[in-house]
Amino acid sequence: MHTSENTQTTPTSSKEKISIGIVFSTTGPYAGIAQELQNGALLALSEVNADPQFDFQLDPVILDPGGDLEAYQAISRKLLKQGGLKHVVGCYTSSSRKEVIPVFEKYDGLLWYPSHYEGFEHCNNVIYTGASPNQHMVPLMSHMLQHFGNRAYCVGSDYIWGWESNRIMRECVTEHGARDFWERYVPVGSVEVDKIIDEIVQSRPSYIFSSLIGVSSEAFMRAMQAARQANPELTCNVMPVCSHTLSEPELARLAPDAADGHIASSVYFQSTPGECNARFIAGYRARYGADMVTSANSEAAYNTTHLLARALQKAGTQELDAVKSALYDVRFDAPQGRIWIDPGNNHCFLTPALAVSNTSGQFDIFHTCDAPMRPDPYLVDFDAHRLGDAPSPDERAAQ
Amino acid sequence: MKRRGLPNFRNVRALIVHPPGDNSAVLTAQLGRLGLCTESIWPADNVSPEGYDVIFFDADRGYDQQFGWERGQAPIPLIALMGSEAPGRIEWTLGQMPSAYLVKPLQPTGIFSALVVAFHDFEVRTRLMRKVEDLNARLRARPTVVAAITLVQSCMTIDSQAAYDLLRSEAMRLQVSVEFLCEQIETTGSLTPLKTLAESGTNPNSPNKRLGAGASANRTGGS
Repeated sequence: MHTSENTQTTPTSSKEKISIGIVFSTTGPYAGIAQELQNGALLALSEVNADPQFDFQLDPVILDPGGDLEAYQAISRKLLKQGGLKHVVGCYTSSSRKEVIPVFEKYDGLLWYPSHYEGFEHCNNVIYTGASPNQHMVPLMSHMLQHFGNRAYCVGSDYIWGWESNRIMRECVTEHGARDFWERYVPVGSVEVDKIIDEIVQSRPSYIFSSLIGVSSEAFMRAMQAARQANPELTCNVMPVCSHTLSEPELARLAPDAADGHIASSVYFQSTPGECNARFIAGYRARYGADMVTSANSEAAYNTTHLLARALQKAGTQELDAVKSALYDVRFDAPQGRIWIDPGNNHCFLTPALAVSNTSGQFDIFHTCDAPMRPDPYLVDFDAHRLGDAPSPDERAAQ
Repeated sequence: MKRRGLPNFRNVRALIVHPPGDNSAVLTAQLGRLGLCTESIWPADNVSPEGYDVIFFDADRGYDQQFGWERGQAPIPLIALMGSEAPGRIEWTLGQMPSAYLVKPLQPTGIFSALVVAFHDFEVRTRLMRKVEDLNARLRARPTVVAAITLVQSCMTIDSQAAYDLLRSEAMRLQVSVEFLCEQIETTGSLTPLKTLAESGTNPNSPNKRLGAGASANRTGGS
């Protein structure tokens, strides 16, 4: 467990201080992603503290569980029971979220969870601001089915995110008559992907669906690029990699060649047009470095913290019920566009988009939903058989 | 066993037989999130399953007359909402043969899995019950089958296994159950049903009549 003071965001004014827990594993196996999340949260926090419309200053209590599940419980208990905090922005993996929920229920705290996840959860002590499966999986499946076919090769990191994403993909392509389906897993942190690449080259699927995270994803993308060079007919146009996880910081490490031509589904891309996003990118670079890129992770944590501040301001108290009912009236102009929380399920209205990556490590967006999409964490309104029928609104203009 | 697809409860109709309060409110809200249409009733008497796909019931205050069916014979899946762990209450609850259980105080977590488990359990149970009925019917018909085997043996001078094999293959050919064929043979005391059944099988006016002739006869045989 690591504790740190963030001098840049420690409030100095005479306004009331409200302590907010910031809990991300900025060390350990998924440190890179956690750092993006923490960066987004702290950027928003500094904006709130500099904004005269708020009657308070947010005081971050930053704790790093180091990717250790047991540390998550201990840290949450420390913040809520000993520290008396009510609100915590934190967690990336579902297993860490599941681990801390009982603590938040016991001490009546609110977890502001900023990551996209596999859905199928509702807890009154959690606000889910990341994308639900209907906002990240469904648009991607629909596009791949309509444009590339049903022979999906699924490769994922060996934990619930990969398992559940592949399960939905399997149901979907099976419904559309797929006879071939591949489902392969790589342990979190492993870079052993050669056998998988060999199998892909041999079996020639319609597309590869990746829910790999971290170093595994990068190793896979590099190996896939090498395989394409050895087999020039396997271009990204013929057999693309698609993902609902791929983001800019990862592409930056893959650029130029291995970054090119992948299809991604996300509610945020750095290339999203608009003033709010331009401000977000400028703020992010000013704070963390001119060469830094923003991502769906940093945006989600940024949004979460702004939503929290606005709900606190509206409620005039930290009490959960008051903050939640105030939150339901908050509309926030996020970098991706306007967002708000669905009072029915505490998940977030977000705007799904599809993009194709390029050699500069950015995404060219080729489809954006007309309006923010209602979150459907239990996929109640999902019909696999309808996915392939709908006329496609998008064109792969970038390719 | 066939794997179920994505569990989806959109427009599934649930009845909650439980007094109003926090537990009912949590349940109703979560069922709404899962896409179910929900009605609540309390007090309840002689509840009909008509118009519902699943029933949640209070295990703490429930009693047999609440339900319009024989104890343990619910025609749709039941999910017990248990608070008390008094042995008498657990015993009564078990008597209703619920397909899943939820422990009070209810929270949103667990309700989705309880629904998935309940529908799965009810489907498996229904299939097993049908199988048991079928096997029982065949067991009851056993003396008849033995009598027919004996008759075939004596008429054709073959051993009992050969006689049974013959009856089975004839039954399959005629698309009737072994038990039904044996019943016909035993009733007539001869092997003529082998011939008459074959003839009537070609009669378009009565091809299926014999299949509905009795509980033991409506499924073709197979060991």
